[in-house]
Amino acid sequence: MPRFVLLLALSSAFAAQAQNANPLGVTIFASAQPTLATFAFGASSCHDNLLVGWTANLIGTQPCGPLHLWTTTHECGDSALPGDHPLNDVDQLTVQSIRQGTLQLSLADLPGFDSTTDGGLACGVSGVELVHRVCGSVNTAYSCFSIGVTPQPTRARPFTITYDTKPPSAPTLDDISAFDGTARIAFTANTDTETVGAQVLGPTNSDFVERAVVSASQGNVLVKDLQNVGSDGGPVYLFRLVGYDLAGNQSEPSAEVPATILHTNGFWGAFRERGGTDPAGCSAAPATFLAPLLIALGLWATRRRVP
Amino acid sequence: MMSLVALSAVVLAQTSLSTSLVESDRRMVFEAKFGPYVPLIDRTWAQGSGPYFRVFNSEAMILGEGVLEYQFFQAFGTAAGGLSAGYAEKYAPSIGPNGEKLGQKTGLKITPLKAYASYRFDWLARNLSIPFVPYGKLGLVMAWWSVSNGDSVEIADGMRGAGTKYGWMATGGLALMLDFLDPRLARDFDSGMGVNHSYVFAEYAAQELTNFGTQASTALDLSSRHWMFGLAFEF
Repeated sequence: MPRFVLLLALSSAFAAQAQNANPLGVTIFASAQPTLATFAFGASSCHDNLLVGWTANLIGTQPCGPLHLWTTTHECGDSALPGDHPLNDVDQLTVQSIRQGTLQLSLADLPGFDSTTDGGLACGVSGVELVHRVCGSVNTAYSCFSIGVTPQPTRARPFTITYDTKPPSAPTLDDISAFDGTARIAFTANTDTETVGAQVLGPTNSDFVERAVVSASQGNVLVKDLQNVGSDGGPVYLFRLVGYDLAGNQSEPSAEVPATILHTNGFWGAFRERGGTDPAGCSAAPATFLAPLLIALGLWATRRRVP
Repeated sequence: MMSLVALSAVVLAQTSLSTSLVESDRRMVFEAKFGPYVPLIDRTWAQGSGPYFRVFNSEAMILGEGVLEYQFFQAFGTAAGGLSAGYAEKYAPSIGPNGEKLGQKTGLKITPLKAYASYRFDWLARNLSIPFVPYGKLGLVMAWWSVSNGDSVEIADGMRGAGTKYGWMATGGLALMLDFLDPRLARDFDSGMGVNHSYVFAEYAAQELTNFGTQASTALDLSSRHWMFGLAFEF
């Protein structure tokens, strides 16, 4: 039995370790978010740098040369094309022994913004969606120095950097149900939209104010702390939605929809409305209940055998 | 030598046979049961004007309960102490300012916890193979309740719709011991799993949840008279 438990624990530990281990091959990612294979930025980030990480997990093979890294506006191949921007190579020994590293990219120096070689757009231009990739490739073989063995290029899983100043299309406001100080707004957003914000124009503010932001995949957003106005108060609240993409671009607002926040009665309200009362607490009752319960539990715990 | 081995084998076989026919010790009972439950909230009001009728149309909640009993007396019948925990809920549309039913839901949730003593007259079943076991239970009840409206607990006139009620309960029931359907399977269930007997049962429960009669007549009354049906295992 203890052996089985130990085996189980070890298996779980190895399984957990395997799950955390780097994927096979060479992987490139943003250091801040290693799980994401994409990064998007807008015009306001043009002067920023991005720290990019790489890991090499070459089980069963060995690197036979340096790891070449470059940025491109094309698909990644075995090597950089004319117009691509080469980055510093990572030497063979580092790839083989340390197996991970970082490099710093200036976003403004990406090839899409290079007027002499590729694209020629200025970083900061609006209404554009420009995809770059950070690519990598290293020649690998089972044994680099064996006779008759030709090292083959192993491509890295690329990392995508998108310059995006193109706002997503506005979400569609499908439905509002507004009860008891809370409005639930159902919406449809396109795939480019990452988050959706609910903006409210209410009785005390003269302009729309964003009151809640949710993930676009959620499909509805809840706005709380609104005032009930009853059935005859008129449509005092106006609701609209805006969408945001990964780069933070904001869409045009959706159509504005008025809604009255109705006060409703649940069962408790109906009970109170009909004269129902319920005094808070009754000090004697819990003791009356708990004393026999504790005695019964005590007897139960101390008794070991049926006579 | 050969005859000694043969004799040992016969003795061993007989011992094995006799132990398989002997019932194992029984100490506990587990019950799982369900039944319709209409709290007597409206008994203060004229028929058809109470809040439970207004919101839930007097429809029954479904109450589910799990029970564990410990038997402390086994002679002429079986006496035990038991604990049970249950849950019931009912949802209906919320009511608008003009009495209209809306898309939002209101719900009443009740979680009763009971401590009781029980007596099962199983002498007939055990000695005369008459498979019916009448029983009774008497005990105390504590019930947590809450009312939701939309996504949260409802507050009306500044009072939160949630609390605890206390009271007592009395139950009478009849259980059918299922062993007669397949006695051999019943014995195997005992020797293999330690379950001495299995039952199906029906019981009528009366519970008064009025804080032992101390609450006002207009207070929320979760008392009830209801039937429960279930399955029990004695082990």
